[in-house]
Amino acid sequence: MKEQFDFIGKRYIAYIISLLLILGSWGYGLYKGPKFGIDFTGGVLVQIKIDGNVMPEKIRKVFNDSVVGKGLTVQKIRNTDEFILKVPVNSEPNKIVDEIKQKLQRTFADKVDILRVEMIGPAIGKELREKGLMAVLYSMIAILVYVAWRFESVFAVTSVVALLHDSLITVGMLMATGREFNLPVVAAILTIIGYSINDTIVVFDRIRENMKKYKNSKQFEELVNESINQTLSRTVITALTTFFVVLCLFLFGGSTINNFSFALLVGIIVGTYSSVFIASSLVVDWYRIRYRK
Amino acid sequence: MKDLKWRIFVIVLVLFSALYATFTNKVNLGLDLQGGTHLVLQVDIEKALENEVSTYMREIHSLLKEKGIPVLDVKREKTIINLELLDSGKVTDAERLLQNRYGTIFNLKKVGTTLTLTLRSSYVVKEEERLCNQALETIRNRIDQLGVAEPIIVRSGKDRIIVELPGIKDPERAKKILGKVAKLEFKQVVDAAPTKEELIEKAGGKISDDEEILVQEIKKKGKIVGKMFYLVKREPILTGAYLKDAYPGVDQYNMPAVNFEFKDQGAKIFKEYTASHIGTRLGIVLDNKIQSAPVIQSQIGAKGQITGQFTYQEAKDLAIVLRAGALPAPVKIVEETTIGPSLGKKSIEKGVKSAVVGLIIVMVFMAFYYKVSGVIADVALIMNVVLLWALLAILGATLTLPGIAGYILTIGMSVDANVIIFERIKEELDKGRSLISAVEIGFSSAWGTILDANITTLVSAAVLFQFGTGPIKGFAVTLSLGILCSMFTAVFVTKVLLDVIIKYRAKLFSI
Repeated sequence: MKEQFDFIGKRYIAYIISLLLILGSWGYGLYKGPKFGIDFTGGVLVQIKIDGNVMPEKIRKVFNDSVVGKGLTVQKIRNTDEFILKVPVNSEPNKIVDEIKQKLQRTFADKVDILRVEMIGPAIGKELREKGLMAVLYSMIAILVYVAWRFESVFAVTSVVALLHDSLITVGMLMATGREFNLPVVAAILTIIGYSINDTIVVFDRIRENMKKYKNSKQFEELVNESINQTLSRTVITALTTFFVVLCLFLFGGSTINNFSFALLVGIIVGTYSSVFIASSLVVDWYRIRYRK
Repeated sequence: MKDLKWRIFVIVLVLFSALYATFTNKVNLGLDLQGGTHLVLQVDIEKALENEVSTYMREIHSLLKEKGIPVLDVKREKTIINLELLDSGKVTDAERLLQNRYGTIFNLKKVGTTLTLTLRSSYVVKEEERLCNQALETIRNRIDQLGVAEPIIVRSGKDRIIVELPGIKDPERAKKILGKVAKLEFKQVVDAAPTKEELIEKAGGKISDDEEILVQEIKKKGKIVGKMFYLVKREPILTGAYLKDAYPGVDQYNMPAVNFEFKDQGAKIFKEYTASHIGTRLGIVLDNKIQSAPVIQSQIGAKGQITGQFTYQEAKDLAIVLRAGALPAPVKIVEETTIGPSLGKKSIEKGVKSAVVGLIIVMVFMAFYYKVSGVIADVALIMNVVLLWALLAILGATLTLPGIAGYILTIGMSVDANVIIFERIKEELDKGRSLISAVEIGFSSAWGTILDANITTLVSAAVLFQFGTGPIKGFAVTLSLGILCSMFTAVFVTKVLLDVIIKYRAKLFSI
């Protein structure tokens, strides 16, 4: 038998690390103030490219004496001559779009190229916010039901707790790094939920198999630990291959889906960690509490 | 292993059909990749209903007068009409009369001498349906006039219309054309004055019920430089519904104008009216604003002209909307995404680059870690990439930027099934099993795990598909199709290839 790492024995350390990660990222993120994309707040986003070395300040100045100027943020995309202009919710978003285009074209003439325009009305923003939250909730409920059906309800509850853990840390990390929370990020979280549950189920599957194999001849803690170790190389390799491709997406995928790939990147690390350290440990603790009674 | 040949045949068949499908069908590119404009329009049903109710209110008022039922006061609050009758003895008469005539439209409630009319919900639902469908039809007509290739125009929810215009060059113009109500009316002008107050004074301090005041904006070089107020008859002589055609032209001073032509019935009405009203002014009203108010010089037949300080572009666009017909209710653009063609192209390049680099890394890693078995997994992976593309082509799916991300993610995740199987085979070999039985057990015991693990991923992808908008939907589609494909390639194809190696070149096997 290969040497085994005592995951279950170290589980309290893992709990503390997770708690610190959640509290730390959320605390810092909330302190910094979370940023929401215009798809959740409503507003206007214009991505432009200006030839020559133009400073964001100069673009901001263009709108100094205009309604657009209120709440306008100009952000330069690193290593390019592209900028993202954002104006938060307004009662007449269509006019804002018009004004931005006209003013830019008047000032920079044919040096400016408008690459992308997004406008979300305030009512739609509210709708998307609710829809996004519901989607995360529904997928967790669906997974809860499926896992409860295929395994025992203990496994279902603990795997969903692990998923909640993954989502919380991913969102926390986004906030802490000052990244925007938008619709693609919700998609990323749903993907992470799918990925992380996949990981967890492979371990649970092995626990179930070993439970049949050993009947009551082995301590449950020991059995779970052995199952984690048996599936460990699979967990690590799959995490690596997935991590590689997501890293490629993060590095080469471009600014449009950068937040999305960042969320995936964090989620895959956290999801793998939770499958190994958190999900099965929670099952052990559940059994211990029930056994004592 | 007698069935090995059959299984090889299945793989070859699938591969060839996939390649065939790839070359005969085309994968559509989403707006975020090919450039274009995505709009969500909201039909202002509330406003349209208010307009309808206000017409009914005038109708009811004059009906009651006609029947000798005196009305003390009539008021409208949004879509609710409050009628206050003078004579308490006639309330029941009025109620019965209105119930007969308007019973299918309004609910009636009687309190003392006050009758309250509220719209029936069945009527509201019917109107919503009618207004939205008519708006959709009008918008489709206008887009046809604009000449956009392969537009998508669909209803979404109860009062929204989604419009996708691929490759459009001037989204601002499209937005203006789609958002214009374009209600054209011809009304009799009673009087005109430079201010509202003066006009009311001239009318004797009070304007009657069948008249209204409309404004004309006087423009110079596109800017509003002055205003003129007109007292006109409320009831139009003719509306845009009688138009047969409209096209841009020039007026007598060589300024841009819109020429129009009436249908036969409209021409007849117009001829009769102009013949009997020579010397009076005719108000040409567009969206409740006076465009021009020419004096009728002689009888006019089927053809006419709208002037009013247009630019050439404005005249051209006005002709388009008049030809396509008026919107039954105002629409508001509540969401817009416009992607320039250069950004779309760059997104494709970036997506392809990420995919290729990711694919190479994963393949090298698998070959390095699992040796010959890893190479087999790589072959299965390539096949997965091909199959997924073919499936997208066959289903006529639209590839979006997040869709490419889903594709890339599939590359990383689809080897998972292989990893689960290979790890299991390794374990069984460690226990001292023979190669053949280790492979058999590896596959059979891993199958349940793979199924469970993939179904949960599919569940979250399904939720994603359900709630997502366009591009996100594309992500959910490629991700779930990729997972389904991987169950075939990573399990079935890998098993066949392993069986072939074990049968013919067992020495080569390594894991």
